[in-house]
Amino acid sequence: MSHTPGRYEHTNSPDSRSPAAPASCGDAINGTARSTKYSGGRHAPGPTGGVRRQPLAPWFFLLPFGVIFLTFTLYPLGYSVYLSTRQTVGTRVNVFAGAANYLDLLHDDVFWGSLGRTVYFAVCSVLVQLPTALALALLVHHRRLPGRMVFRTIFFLPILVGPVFIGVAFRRIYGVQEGALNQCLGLLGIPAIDWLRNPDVVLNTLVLTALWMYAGFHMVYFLAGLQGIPVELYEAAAIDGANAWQRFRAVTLPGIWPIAAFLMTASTIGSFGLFDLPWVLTDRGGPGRASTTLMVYLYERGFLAGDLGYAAAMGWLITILLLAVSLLQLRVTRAWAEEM
Amino acid sequence: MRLAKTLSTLCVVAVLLLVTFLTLGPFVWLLSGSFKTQAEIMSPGLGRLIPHAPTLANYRTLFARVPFASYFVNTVFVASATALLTTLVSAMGGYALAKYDFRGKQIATTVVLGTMLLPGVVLLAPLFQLVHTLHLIDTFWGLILPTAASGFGVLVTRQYFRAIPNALLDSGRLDGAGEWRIFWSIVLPLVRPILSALLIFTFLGAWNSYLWPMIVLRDERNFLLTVAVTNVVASLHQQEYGVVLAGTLVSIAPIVMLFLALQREFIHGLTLGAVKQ
Repeated sequence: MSHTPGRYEHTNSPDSRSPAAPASCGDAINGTARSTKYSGGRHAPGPTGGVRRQPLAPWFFLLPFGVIFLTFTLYPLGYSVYLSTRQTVGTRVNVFAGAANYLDLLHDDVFWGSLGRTVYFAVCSVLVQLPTALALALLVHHRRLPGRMVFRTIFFLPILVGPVFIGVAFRRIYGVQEGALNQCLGLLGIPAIDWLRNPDVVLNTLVLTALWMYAGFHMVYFLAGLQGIPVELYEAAAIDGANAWQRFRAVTLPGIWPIAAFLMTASTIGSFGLFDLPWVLTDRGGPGRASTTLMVYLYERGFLAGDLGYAAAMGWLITILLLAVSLLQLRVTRAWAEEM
Repeated sequence: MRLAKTLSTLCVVAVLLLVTFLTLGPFVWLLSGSFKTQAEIMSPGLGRLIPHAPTLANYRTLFARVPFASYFVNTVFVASATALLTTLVSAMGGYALAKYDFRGKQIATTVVLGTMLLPGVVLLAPLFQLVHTLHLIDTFWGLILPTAASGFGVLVTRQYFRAIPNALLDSGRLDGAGEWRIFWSIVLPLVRPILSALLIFTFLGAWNSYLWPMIVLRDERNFLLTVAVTNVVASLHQQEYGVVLAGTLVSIAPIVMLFLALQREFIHGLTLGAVKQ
């Protein structure tokens, strides 16, 4: 999903670094096995039976991808290094600025503030979404549950709806007086919360909305993991007299840990691209700057103020920070996996 | 013992029903709100599930005062073209990397893998400059082309192609089939699951994309649903929230219906991110 749809959106964009995660959740959910094993060799063995191969064939197949990839990925990638050293006004003015953009970024309070808010969102999202998703998966995985397919289908629905549409619809649901959420909370005796205009609350509103969007989606990943754990392990643990918590700790958790680690990384990367929700739901990163994330600030500076050079420099700084965070996460999750 | 088991099942069902309510609540609220009058939407209280006086006025306004039908058509076109082009280009690339040996193959694979590690944010500014230079601003190709070369798509298709025995390809060659014919008629039908998954994945991504279309599209007539709902419908009349709800509903309904028809493919497509590398 990338314009690159998803690349810039808070979606769990495809991530190549996935540690061993299920080969196909679609199969797991339908309880059928489809062959996704790679029986093919690493390299194709030579032709058999004296068939002549066309030496140009691979280049023909690679051509469309190559041309588009060179033009719209590799070239812009190189160009963005150059662009980050220029001072620009839209696509017109363009003068050399050396490292000025990067130096300005180091002293840009809004940038660091946006980084802080983005990190807050990323951390809270992981802490709230993953346990919820795992709990849902454990419940739906329940053996004697009637209508489990129906629950899975329903919980998967929110991921289909674009964050823009969610933002538009939820603006009303989060209203102080008339909003459906506060009305429901009022029935439970909880006083009204200003979800969208209280600067101390808005980030949590985004976390809550993301929970609604992603809990069921992540649940599907966990379900695939749960279905991959051999039943014999549970039986053996039961024979050893392990109670429910001990079985969870010794069998379930190690079984789904690779998926949790993958979701953590994917979710963090997605969070750094968070734009649609704060732009639409909390009105362009408002109130004030209370929900201005990195992407909102980058869009403001680069495309509304027209300083593409500054936006390019910001893009590189975000990339470096993100790679560092991802590496750190990989190390930590690996270390935890070894302890289990 | 049996009683305890029944009770625990009941508790599980109760919790799941609560989550179902929380998940479906906004959808139901959206659906019912789109048939309500402005006065009823604004009235305090949780509101009725079935509108007091159901009206189609919101939908009428949506299609009469705004060219909403053409936004819909634009989105269908862009999402379909993106999905078809990306899938074809990815499948061809993945096939070349999986089934042929050629010089530079290792380097090509490494470069594609390497760029996937970079977040898209770094491309936003230079890509805009490029699209501007190529005179693709305010065109649908400015939306479609930048996403068409998906390194991710190449890598996931490559894995499926690897599973196909080379003997099958060679027997096609012995029968005198050309390389394209082998790819199109023998190999592609065998990897249909990954093709439909990739089609759905890219279609949905394009349908819901917002930031890039907002940057590239200028003329209101070219807008996609996402941009139209926030920039045109929402500013139509500050007071007509029912129209906004109707617009949102029309934008998400086709996706939800497609999902209900093709659940298995959707779930496979959207969880592609977890494919083993």
